[in-house]
Amino acid sequence: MHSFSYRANAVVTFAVTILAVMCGMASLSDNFNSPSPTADVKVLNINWFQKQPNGNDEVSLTLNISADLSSLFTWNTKQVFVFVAAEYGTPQNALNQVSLWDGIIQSKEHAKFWIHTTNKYRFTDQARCSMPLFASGNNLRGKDFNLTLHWHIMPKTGKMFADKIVMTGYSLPEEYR
Amino acid sequence: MGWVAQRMDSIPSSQIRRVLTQIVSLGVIVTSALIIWKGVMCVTGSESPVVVVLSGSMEPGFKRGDILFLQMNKDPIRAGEIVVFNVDGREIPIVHRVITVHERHGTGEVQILTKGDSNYDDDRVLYARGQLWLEQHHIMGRAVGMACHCVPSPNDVVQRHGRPGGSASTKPDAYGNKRIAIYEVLLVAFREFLLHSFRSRSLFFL
Repeated sequence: MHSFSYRANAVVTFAVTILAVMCGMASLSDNFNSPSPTADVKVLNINWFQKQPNGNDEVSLTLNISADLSSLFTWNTKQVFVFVAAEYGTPQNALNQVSLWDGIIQSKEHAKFWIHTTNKYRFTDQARCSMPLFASGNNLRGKDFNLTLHWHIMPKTGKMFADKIVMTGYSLPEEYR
Repeated sequence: MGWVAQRMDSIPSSQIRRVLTQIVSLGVIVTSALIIWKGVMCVTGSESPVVVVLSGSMEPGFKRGDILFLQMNKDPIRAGEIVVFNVDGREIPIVHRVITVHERHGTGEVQILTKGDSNYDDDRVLYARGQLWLEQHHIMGRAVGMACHCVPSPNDVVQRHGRPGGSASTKPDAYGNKRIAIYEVLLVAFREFLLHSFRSRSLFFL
C-alpha cells in the first residue's frame, strides 16, 4: 500500500489524467475564437497551355496571392497550412480539385502575406486509361474554374480546423499557347 | 474421486481463492481494455483510431512521436485533408495530405494524390508500382486531432550551449559537451526503442 511502485503508479496515473484534461480544455478554448480571414487571388498571366504526350492538358499560371489570416491564430495554434486549389468540373468528373500552391505559416506575424508565384504543382487534368483516347484529357480548353484558398489550422494539441474561401470567375483560354 | 477430494482438501482454500481472484481480475482488466478499444474503433469508424507519427515528412506540423486521432466516415475525401492510407505491399500506413482529387459523376469514386508537407515531391514514388492514384478503399482514416508531443527528441530536451550568431560555444567545456553527447545518445536510443516498439505492434502504427 505504501510501496514505491504503488505510489509511483498513483502519481503517474494522476499526472496523465490531468494532462489529458488540460489538453482537452486547451482544445475547447479554440472554439471561442471567431476568425475573419480575407484573401484575394489574381491570375496575372497564363504562361503556357499545352497538351502533354500522355494526353492530358497542362497549364502554367502566374498567381498573385494576398491574404490576411492573422485572426486564425490562437495561443493553441502551432501552424496554419494554407493552399490554393483550382476546382472545376468535367464531363467525366463531377469535381476536380488540383492544388496549385501551398505554404506554411508558423506565427501570427507572417499571417498577413502577399506572394507572387508560378504554380508550385502541375495544373493538369487527368486522363483515364480505360477511356478511349479522343474522349479524355482535352478538358481544360475554355474551362471556367474556381480558385479556393484553403487553410488548415494545426494546433499544439487538440482538434484541427479547416475552412476555405471560394473565389469564382477564372477561366482558361480556348486555344493552346 | 476420493483422492481428488483429498488433494483438494490438502491445499489451503484461501490460497486457491487468491490465485483465482488474481487471474479473474487480470482477465477483467484485459477484457475491458479490449472492449474500450473496440468501442473507440466503432465510434470513430476507423480501423486504428490512434496512431503515432514515425517519420518527419509532415514537419513542422507533425513531428516524430506525435499522437494523432483518426476518424472515418462516408463523406467524400477533399483536398487539404490529412489522411492515413495503406499502400499494397507496405505494412506501415502513411499519413500525408491530399493535394489533388478527381471525383467521378454518379458513382462518386475518387482518385487521390497525396504529398507530405515537408517532402518536395508528391507521393507517387511511394505508391505501388504502376499505381498513379489512391482510391477510397486505400484510405483508413482522416486525422482530426492531435495529442501532445509525447516522445520528445533530443533537440527538445537538451539545451545546446551557444550564443546568438554563433553555432558553437565560445569557451568549450569538454565535460559539458561529453555529458550532453551521452544524454543525446541515451535519449535517441530510448526514443528509437519506443518508436520501434510502436511500429512492430499492430495497435499503434504509422
